[in-house]
Amino acid sequence: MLQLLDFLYRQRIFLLFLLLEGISFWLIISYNYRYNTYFLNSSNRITGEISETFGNIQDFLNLQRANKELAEENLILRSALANQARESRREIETADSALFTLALANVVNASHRKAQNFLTLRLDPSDSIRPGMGVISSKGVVGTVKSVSKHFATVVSLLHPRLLVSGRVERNDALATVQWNGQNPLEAELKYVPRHLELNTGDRVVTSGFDSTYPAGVLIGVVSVSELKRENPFYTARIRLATDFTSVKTVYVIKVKGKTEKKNLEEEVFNE
Amino acid sequence: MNRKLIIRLVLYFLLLVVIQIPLLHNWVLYDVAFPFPYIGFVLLLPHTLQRSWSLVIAFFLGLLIDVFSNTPGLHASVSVFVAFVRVPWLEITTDSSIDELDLTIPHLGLTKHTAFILPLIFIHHFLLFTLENEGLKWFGMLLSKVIGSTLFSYFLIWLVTLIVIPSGRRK
Repeated sequence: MLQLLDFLYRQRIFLLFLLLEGISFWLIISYNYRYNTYFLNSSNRITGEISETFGNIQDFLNLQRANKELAEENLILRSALANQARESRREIETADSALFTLALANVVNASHRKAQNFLTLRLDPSDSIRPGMGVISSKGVVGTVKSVSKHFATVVSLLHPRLLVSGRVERNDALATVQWNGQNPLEAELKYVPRHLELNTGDRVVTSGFDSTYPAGVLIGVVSVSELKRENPFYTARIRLATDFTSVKTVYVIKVKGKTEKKNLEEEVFNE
Repeated sequence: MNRKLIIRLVLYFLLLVVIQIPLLHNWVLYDVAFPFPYIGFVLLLPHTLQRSWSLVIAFFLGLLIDVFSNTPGLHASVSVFVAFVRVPWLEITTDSSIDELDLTIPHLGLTKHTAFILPLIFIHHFLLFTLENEGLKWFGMLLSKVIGSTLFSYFLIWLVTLIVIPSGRRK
């Protein structure tokens, strides 16, 4: 017994080393597979405040560009509004339009050059944002909320290999999955487009709406590379992402009304 | 621990760690060099400090960087490893008969200083990018990132030691 204690005492540094490494790897693994472990990431109150301060300085330097982008967005919205006024009489209002509400949020911190990228948002506490909600910008899909504190939220960026977005090729309604491959922050892979359909460079890929995170029809990107290899059942394709992750500043968090209801119903059916 | 040493450690902390935090995502050269100069703080801890303490310091330092980059555990695990191999490596690369105020270029000489610091930075960056990448896929890109970042970090740490040492040498 004494010998054992003596041995442990002599090896105490190595044991401490193993303990600390153990804790670290537990953190790595649990963060990747669990939602809302928010005490150790940038949606934490203190780190959020600090990031916001630095973000504010950058915002100020980027004001001109932000102004320009807002003006462009205004233009798009105005033209859409005009179109809608013209068409509304002909169209029956779909259930979709009432399903989604948007909440505006500012990006206070973002990465785009790492192997796994995240964004931190400053929230209005009254918006009641929850993990799992989708995030879009004026240009396209941004990501999914991972964890939320009172004033901040951490968002898994589309530039994260574990985030899969259900997409649809606009021209022929082919369903596909968009996943980032960890290399170029401007491009992502477009998977599972079956080979009997046509896929050309320049085709627009939008969200399908099937994952009930994003409304249907939000632009994800435009096909930039499309190859059909002899042995593959699917196209090998890449899309150029619509959202510019190097400069995204203002985003919208999407709240879907019947999400849990839909999910419960689907689970009920699939479990039978 | 005397006052001079404490001042030096505070300066290292300010120049290597605090500066790292706001600029973490923004310092990139040619898309391959991502500097992590904070590891210099672990490397330059006085080697007379108890090893268990340096492990604990490295762990919390890594965790601090992790919190700001949304990678809990990543930097912590890697910097603990570097802290663990630091003292044996120091004894291999330099004479074991060094006094307390030592890990500086004037004391060790540039060659020994580099032989001590550079391989450890390389190991740190290699493990860091490999873990972040979840394996050795895209090895060419990974390696270019590791080498570019190692040189960048080494340059920054070398610069900081140049700034800090004069204040430490004043008798």
